[in-house]
Amino acid sequence: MAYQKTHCVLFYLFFLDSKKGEDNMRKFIVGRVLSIIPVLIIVSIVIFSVVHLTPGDPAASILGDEATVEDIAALRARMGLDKPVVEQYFIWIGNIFHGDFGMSVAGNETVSSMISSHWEPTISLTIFSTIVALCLAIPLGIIAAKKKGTAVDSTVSAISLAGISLPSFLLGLFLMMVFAVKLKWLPVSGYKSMSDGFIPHIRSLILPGVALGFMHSALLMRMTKASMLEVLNSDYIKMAKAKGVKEFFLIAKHAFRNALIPVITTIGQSIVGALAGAAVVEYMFAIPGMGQLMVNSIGRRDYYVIQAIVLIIACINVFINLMVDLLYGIADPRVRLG
Amino acid sequence: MTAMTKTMRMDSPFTKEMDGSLKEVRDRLLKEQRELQLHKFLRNKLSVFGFVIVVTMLALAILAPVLAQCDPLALDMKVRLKGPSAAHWFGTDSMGRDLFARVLYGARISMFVGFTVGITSGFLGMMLGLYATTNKYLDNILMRFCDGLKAIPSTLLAITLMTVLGADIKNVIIALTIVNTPSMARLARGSALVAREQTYVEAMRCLGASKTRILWNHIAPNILSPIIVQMTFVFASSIITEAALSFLGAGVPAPAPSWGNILNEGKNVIYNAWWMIVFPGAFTALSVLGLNLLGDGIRDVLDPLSK
Amino acid sequence: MPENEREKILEVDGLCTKFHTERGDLKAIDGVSFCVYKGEILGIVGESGCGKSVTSQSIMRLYDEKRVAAYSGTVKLEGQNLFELPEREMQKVRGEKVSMVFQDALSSLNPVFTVGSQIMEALLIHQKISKKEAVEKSIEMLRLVGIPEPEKRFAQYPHQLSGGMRQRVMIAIALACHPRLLIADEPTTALDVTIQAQVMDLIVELNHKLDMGVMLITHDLAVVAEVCQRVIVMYLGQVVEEADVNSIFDNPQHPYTQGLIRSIPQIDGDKGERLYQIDGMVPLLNQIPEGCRFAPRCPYATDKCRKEMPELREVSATQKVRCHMAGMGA
Repeated sequence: MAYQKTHCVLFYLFFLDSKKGEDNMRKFIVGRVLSIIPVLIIVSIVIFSVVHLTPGDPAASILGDEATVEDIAALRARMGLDKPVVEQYFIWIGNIFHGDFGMSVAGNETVSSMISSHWEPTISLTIFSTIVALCLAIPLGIIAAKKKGTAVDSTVSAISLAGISLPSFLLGLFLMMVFAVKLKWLPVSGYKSMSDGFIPHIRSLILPGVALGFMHSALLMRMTKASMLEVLNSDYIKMAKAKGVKEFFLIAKHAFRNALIPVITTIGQSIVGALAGAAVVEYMFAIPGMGQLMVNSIGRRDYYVIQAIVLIIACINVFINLMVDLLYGIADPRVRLG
Repeated sequence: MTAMTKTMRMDSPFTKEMDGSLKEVRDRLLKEQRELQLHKFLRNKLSVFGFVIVVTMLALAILAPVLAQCDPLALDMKVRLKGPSAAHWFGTDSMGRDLFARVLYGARISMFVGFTVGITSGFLGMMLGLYATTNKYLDNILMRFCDGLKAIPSTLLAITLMTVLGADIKNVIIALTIVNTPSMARLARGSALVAREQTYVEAMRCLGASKTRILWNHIAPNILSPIIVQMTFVFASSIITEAALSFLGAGVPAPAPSWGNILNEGKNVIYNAWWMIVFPGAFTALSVLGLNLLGDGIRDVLDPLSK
Repeated sequence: MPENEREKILEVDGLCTKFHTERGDLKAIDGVSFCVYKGEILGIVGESGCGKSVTSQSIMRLYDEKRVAAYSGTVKLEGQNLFELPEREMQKVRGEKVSMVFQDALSSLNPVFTVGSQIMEALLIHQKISKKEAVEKSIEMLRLVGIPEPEKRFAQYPHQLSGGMRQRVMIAIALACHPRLLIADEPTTALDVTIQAQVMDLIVELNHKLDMGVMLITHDLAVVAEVCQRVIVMYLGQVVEEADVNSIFDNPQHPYTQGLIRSIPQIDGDKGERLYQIDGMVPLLNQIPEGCRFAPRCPYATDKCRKEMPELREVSATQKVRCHMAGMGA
């Protein structure tokens, strides 16, 4: 009798109750996903405006001073610049849905093919630097909070202060100087993809990855420490201790999950920051990624490439914010159950 | 934010309409408050350190023509890429120019750009944020626009703008202002909304004060503190972004001695000219560190909740 | 049962707790001594800041002993001195032999874990039972504290429950392992009056059912009168009076207690009469006066009171007072 009663109880618990929870979850997810559509539209409008509404004639600056009026007019027609601005916008957007980001101004390649040949190094670099940043920041932040006021805390604070003040390209240069030039432990530049072997791949990513990730790691360290401190001072930690929960589990189980919630947003920002900072770092370490592509396009005034890359990265930004929001909902029951 | 606006409350309400003796009391109280804040600031060693660094950098920037004995643009191919020496304290670069002079003049550029961008974006952001609170329609449009701009990472936006505008120090300032104004506007708007809910604003409305008067005489002074703190951080990040842009060739064009330009050159000769990386790099990092510490310090002082 | 034959669950002797702060070491409680008998409800009353919470949290050694607090004196739980135990042993005592219920249930329950899992945790730490058994026992506890539909509430999160229910959940967690002593730190202060009554009834019912000692900390004298058998009164980190509940209300010996009792508004009092209040304010911890701590506010204070700290001495079989002038103004 008791056995059956237990089963009834468990059935109730796990099936009927969680079904209602699932409905709430679904509503939450759908709501969030739909909300990014207007944002994406605005982002595309903003990028388009920035490029096309600023003073100066793109065609003229591409062709340079010696261009004749006919040349400029021809280029304008070819680039579609003679049409009204709003129409140009919709043509651009329409083309994007077909995968057509336009032609490179240099004339020989489509922007989409340029991007597809350049995205892999950037993604590897971003993932690597984010992992480095997380592995460094979160443990150090937690330790600094636990040992507040001690030498450990001061050291961690000093490190995070240094990190915030050292932009990635500066740190990259210093690292390059010390580890690649003087000590010769790591390659100065160049990129080896996974297909060339795992170790060479990682070795080529270490210097740029650390340079890129250190600053975000510093921000994360500060946030983790602040969040952890607030949680450690909270009443529910005191209550857990009064229940008899062991010290280790107080931190690892009770504090950690709560402290991590506000940190999730910062992690999302780090990923996007890494993508953005990749431009400079790739240029410096000669990594053939999207960042380098973008930098090379500056000199050439290759508007379509720049427009496309910035649009892609901005969209990735919006998606990552969406992921962060959804993660918030999963991690914090107060958000998803209201 | 609420706590910060609450301390400044003493600045604004009815007090302008007070008579003589009450005004004296108010002035005395304000003076005491300022002294307390100053003491709090001075107690924090890190903030003082930051302040000293920033003042030093500004001094170096202003006094650059006096301190640098050489012309930062003067070429001398005979002494190219020589290390630090008595004649050239920081060594020379690949065109034989004195690095010490170039770094000092680079400080001019960085300080000028950072300061201008900080002030302009602060001012613009404050205007936009304040006016956004007056009209729901305006608020929606402005904030959507700001959200859109913020979705684009700042460095990339700056690069795009510079590509379109052309490399020039004036354009750098314009680009960086555009990049930083949205977050300033959001900050101003948020603080203004909080300030608007305070009871004294309601009291002013009951007294018959016009909307503009309330906006400028009562709300604006109270959102100044977070804006000033943020301006310091914008100053710091502008220095970084300008250096990055110049490093990529999209910022202040050569031969102007921006720290970023020097670092770019240094990258090409990294094997044999460490001084070209270390000196401008150290100066950049120090300036940013100083500004960050200063900003943190000001924020701690203006926030009554920190001890 | 004669007084000296009753079994003591808790015996606190000369408990002092010092906090290391920026302004130096502050003694929050100084020489607190009292005991709790088996099955009784002891009330601890006093103003905010008198050290009631510090006492209870010191008994359970909840403060950070490495950096923040230093204890002295003895705290004997069923004869064993808790201060002599290493931390690992103390963890076994907490939640199993002595438990605590806090004032604010919303901030004391972990928001990211379900209510049920928090009760289960208390069980799984101290008892070697399977998860399934723990689930059953937790649901039983929820039923015991009077929560309707316990199976449903088991899977809910703290923010989904009402204030009164959350407080009941806290009681369920505290009692999951049937402790000998329950410390209730202002359990009803944050609740509506009607819910207060329900929760207090629950505590009394469980006190009888489980034969468990209860240390009830409160500043509400009405609750004390209804529920407690004995009362101690604290002021500025010390016990100033200890007595059975009737004596406290009918025959308070310490001027502070007298002031407290007199401050209770009477339902049959004169309408235009001003409410009584004790003169002066509680001094800060770093400005503790020499001699009797209540002397600056006491209407009967003499020079001896201001110079010499009175000891807590017995004035009858059931009453102790810390006062040179005990018995004045009764």
